[in-house]
Amino acid sequence: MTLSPNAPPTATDPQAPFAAGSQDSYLILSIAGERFGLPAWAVREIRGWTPPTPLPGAAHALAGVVNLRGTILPVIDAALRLGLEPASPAPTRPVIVVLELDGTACGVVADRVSDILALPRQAIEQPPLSGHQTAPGSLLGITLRDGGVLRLLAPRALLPSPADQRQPGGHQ
Amino acid sequence: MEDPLGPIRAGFFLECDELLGALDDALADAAFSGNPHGARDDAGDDAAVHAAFRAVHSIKGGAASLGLGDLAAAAHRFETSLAARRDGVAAAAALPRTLWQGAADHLAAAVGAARTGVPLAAKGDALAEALAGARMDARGAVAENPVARPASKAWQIRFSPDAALEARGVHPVPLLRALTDLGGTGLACDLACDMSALPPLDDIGADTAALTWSLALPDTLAEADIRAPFAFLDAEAALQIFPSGAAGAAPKATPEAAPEPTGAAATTTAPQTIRVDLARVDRLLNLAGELLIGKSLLATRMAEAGLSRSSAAQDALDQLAATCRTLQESVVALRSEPVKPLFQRMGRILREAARATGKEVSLSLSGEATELDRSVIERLTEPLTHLIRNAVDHGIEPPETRSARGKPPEGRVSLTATLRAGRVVIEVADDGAGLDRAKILARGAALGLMPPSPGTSPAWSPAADRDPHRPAQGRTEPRTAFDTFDEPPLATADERTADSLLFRPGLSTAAEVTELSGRGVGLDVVRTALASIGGRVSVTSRPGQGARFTLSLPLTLSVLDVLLVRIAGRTFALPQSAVIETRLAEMLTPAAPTGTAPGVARSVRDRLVAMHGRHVPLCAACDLLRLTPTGPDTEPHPVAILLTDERDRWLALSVDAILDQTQVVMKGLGAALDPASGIAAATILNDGQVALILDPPGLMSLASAPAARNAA
Repeated sequence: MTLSPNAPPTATDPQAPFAAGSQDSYLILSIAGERFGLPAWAVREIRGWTPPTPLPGAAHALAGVVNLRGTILPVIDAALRLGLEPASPAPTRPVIVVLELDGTACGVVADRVSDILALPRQAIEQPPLSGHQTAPGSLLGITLRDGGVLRLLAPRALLPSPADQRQPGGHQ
Repeated sequence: MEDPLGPIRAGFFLECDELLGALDDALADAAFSGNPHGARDDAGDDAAVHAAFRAVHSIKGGAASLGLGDLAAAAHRFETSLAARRDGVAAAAALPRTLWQGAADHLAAAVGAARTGVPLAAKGDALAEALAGARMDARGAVAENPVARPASKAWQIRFSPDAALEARGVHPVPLLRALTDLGGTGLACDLACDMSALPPLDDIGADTAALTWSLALPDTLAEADIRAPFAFLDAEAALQIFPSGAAGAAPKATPEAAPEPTGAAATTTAPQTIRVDLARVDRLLNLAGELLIGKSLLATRMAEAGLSRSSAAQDALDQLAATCRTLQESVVALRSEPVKPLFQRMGRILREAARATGKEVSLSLSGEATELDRSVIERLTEPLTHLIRNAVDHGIEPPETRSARGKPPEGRVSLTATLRAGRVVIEVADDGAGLDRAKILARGAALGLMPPSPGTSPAWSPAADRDPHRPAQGRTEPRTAFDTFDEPPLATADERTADSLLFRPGLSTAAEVTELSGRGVGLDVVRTALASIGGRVSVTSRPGQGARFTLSLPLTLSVLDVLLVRIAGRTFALPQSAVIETRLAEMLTPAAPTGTAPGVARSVRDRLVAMHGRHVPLCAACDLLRLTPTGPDTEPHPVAILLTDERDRWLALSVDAILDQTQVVMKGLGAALDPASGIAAATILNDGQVALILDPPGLMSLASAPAARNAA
């Protein structure tokens, strides 16, 4: 029942009685053919596909860099970062979801974005400790939606990390 | 937590830098030569003295209003002496320039201390005391002539705050209290309020300002002290200060007739500038670049839509493109600043070094108006400081040695900036002893820095004297370091080794470790600092006649001349400054397997080619960067680009093709992305795509790293 540590700064304690009716917005997107939610407060914009320029020596999950209005934006391949099998066939029109967290911006490749949902806080449960395929620490929580489990991603887990650099043998 | 005064304080310190610069300028005037009977007339003197006074006074006023007591006190002491000079006191006029400069240096140190919050070391105070002593003399000179300033004379102050002052929230009561507190308690101040201008009660609003306060203070106070509480006021408040009984008993052309230190005259001569956060300028630059990209996308779409190149729409687009380009250049120019403040700071460092070593050194500056990118200037302070200190500490001999060698006892250091072939060249030259090559070689050998067999390792020969201004093409023979002198341009292998050793870590030739330099952090700091901003350093020297360090710098860090090359189907940018020449790879002559340097051949790469009489490793760029070709097989005719770096390492880099030669705007890869080895930064091409900028020194390290060798 908690959204920390990635909760927006304005979030009140979900345990507080007055927070019972509060809800947060989530961007619903598809990564490697699976549905995920991303907190809307971390999403700056959604861009059409531009092929990223790969960085030599970077890990696979770092797809490369693109031009975002004159600044260089690192782009993360979310499927690889989350440890998912890439969708086949490959999506025809992927998008780049631009996240901004603590002043750091990064792009995340998604097959497509479909919706923005407002989810009540009580409906969000802590992610199970094991038994699902995504990389550890990558989920904020899970919720039931349309008869299935919707996984809510922790934006911080998608940012480029020092581990993306200089991977031995991590070339394209 | 955040200090609300922080930004104001930061602005004040920036202003201090300007004011210290103005002070240096004023002190360079003949008025401070210490010769009161010089050829100059009083009017010329007055201008310089007042300029110095204004600068110090502004620092004092700002410091006092920001609660920087130590700085205000330091400025106050200086100001008092300047006031004596301004008032024509003979003792003050006779003070030598070095004393004034010393005080200016002390004030600069006080500004630095206030900025960093580190209390000033006691050694600077000796200067203040020397000046205070001079001040006492000056006072004495006045006292000897009691007619000049009758003891009964007192200051009359009239202060009429106006509505504008009220609007700024300035109230007269604290100001008046500050005045009455000036002379200590028990002073007869005779504060009076003139209410004659007061309108009828019905017309008085909350902001009506109709009162005039008048106050008398004893003449033991300096006029500057009285003005100090009002320092932050502009001309808006009518403040009049005059000695009572002003009729004619003043020592010189009445000091009260002097222009107001903070008056309108000061503001008209000040440069019209605003301070802008560098990040905002960079954002503007980004957007200007994006405009150009948008323009080229539009051009493509127009061509696709079937509009001809001669259409009116195309004309309009060309005009737009020209405007965009001008805009981009203007934004780049926004980042440029003259090197003058930097040079003036070096003057301070030189004097400090001269005092510490007991040597007599003068500094001559030229080309101070030359402009450089602000970030380049910022990163020049450290290397230049190092070179200036070195010149004084190691270069210039003690006065007696100089005299014995038939040189004038005062050493000379010159600092010049010139614009040459799109780069700024800064030279630090001294007329000292020159480089002691024998000592450098001995020290190098002691530290184990000597190459195994100097001069026999052609591929990596350690000559540090490559001239960066020489055109890349047609390099035929290495130019030596000695061209600037009349001597035949011959440098022996040992001399070249010595000159390159000079820039190696850990090398210091000072016989003893001094306070200034000689801590073993030699000139390699200079070389590294310059390399990080795309600059180079070289040295020329003649024994007994001095040494000259030449720094070659790019005009700006943000715009770079590059070759666009294709590697494994992708576009990369290669800094032109590192390129010596380009050739078709198949035209290269393989070096004989039993070449002169077999050890080098094995340890670097399997393939060595002969270029310019050196054996150069030839590496495929896609191997070094570990890229897998995305297109068809490798190009039929790869091109070899001969690269060099500041350590004079050479590398022939083979790429698929050269696409273009252009200027690009450098972009950092962002805090989250440390650039990979072999990549320096990124840029955005005309089509909006990102291209990576290669890093030649990084490529050379990759070429000699064991991993690359195994991968091949």
